[in-house]
Amino acid sequence: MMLSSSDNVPELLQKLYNRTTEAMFFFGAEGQILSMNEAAKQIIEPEIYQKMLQGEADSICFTCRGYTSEDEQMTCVSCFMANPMQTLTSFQLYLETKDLGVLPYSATYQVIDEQQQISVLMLRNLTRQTQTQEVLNQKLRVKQVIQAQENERKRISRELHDSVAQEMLSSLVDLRVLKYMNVDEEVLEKLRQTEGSLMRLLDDIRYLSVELRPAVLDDFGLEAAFRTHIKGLEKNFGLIVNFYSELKSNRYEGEIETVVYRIGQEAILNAMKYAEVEEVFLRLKEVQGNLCLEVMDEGIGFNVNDFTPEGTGLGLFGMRERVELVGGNLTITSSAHEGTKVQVEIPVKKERATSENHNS
Amino acid sequence: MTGHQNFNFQLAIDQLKEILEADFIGLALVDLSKYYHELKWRYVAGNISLRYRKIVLSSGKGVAGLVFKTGKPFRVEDADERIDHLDLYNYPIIVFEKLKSFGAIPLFKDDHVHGVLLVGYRESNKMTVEKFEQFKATIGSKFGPFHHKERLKDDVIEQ
Repeated sequence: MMLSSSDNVPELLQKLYNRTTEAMFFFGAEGQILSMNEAAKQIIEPEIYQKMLQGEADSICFTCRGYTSEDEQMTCVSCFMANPMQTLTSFQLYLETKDLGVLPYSATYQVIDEQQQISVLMLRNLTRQTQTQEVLNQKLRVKQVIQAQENERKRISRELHDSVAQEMLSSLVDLRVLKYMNVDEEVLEKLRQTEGSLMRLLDDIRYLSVELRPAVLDDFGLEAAFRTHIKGLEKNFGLIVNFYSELKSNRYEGEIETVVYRIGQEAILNAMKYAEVEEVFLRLKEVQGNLCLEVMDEGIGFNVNDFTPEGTGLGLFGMRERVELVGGNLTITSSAHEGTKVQVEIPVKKERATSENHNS
Repeated sequence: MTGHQNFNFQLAIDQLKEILEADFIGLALVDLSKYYHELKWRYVAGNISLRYRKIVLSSGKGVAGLVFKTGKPFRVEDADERIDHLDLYNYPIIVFEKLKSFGAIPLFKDDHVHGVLLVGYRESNKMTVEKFEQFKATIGSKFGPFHHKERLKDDVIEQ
């Protein structure tokens, strides 16, 4: 490639100045604006733009909302303009923009002529990057919340199952012993009633423990856990779940099993709440190193791309987050005449699950 | 089967249905013969599905569970208005039988709730205060082996 002759440079620079998407401001010694390019004009409120053109000192302050320091998101403390002889690269600056409100920019401030104290400020739009960063942060947070929630549930569930329910059971045994002692009929009847209420209470505690986190998932795996859950659904809500599983007693990593179980649970609950059906289909299989879960209903469906959540809308979001947690894929298809189908595919490393990796 | 055979419950609820011009009547009873006390809908009249048979009522959940747990009557004049439709799946009998207006009372035996009697209509605003009073008056103080005793005054649970 030929080096461009030096005559060419001004022309190229002029083009760059006019065409670039980076906003450029040239300042004089007093902070008055000497020139602004087209990109700068685009982002500034026309009224303020006119004012800035009049060459007032520090007129950038009309539109500048401060820069990000270690202490504050937007601050004017030790403003870059206060010390015009220093060069600063890549700091974050907030500008009040036309139509779009306050936006973040990546700024470079540079002195280009020390004798005449001329400096230039260049701004690159950071909106997209900031948004990306925010989404990323949010995802991380959600993942942490999901994990914390799961651990906490596990702890409470175990506590209920291992200590509260056990204690209850021993009192129940004590009570039964009373029945064989020499007591009259009236006392016996009262004993039976008390026994009945205690049994019910014990059942409630067990139900609560399973609801929080089924121990059967840790001990016997997905298929068993789903069967228990389905039995509960039928008993409590009269919902029929047709369950087909090709997993047998295959075990997977604790984290994966938890994710699949929770998504299955959520998807079935959604079908029950919104799809207006009496029947749901649940399928589990392993295809080419992927664990697949499918929840299907023949209900009223919804528009996947554009729907107003009837509930919190967190269910669907949570499902997606959970799948991403283990590097899987979630697909939701739905239409008014075919119902809704939730599909999950998670790559698995075959592994004998032990209660150890469930407890980690 | 449930240890209450001596009274013809089916006949009693059929009659009740006629008197109150109800669309649906359900009687949930605790199974005394089982080791473990199970509350289920045992007798129904005017049902449109058999799904009620699947449900085991747990104390504190759903219409019967609530009445069972609290021992207090429960009346909903307009189900559409009173129960959020997203919460409706917690009341399966209301969904299955498409009830829009209903009332339920506890049935006691030895100071314990042993059953729940539900009267429902498939049109809203049918189970008025007057209708509910009529329902309770029709049952009177005794229903088979049970008595319709109210521990406190006539307070209906307002959800």
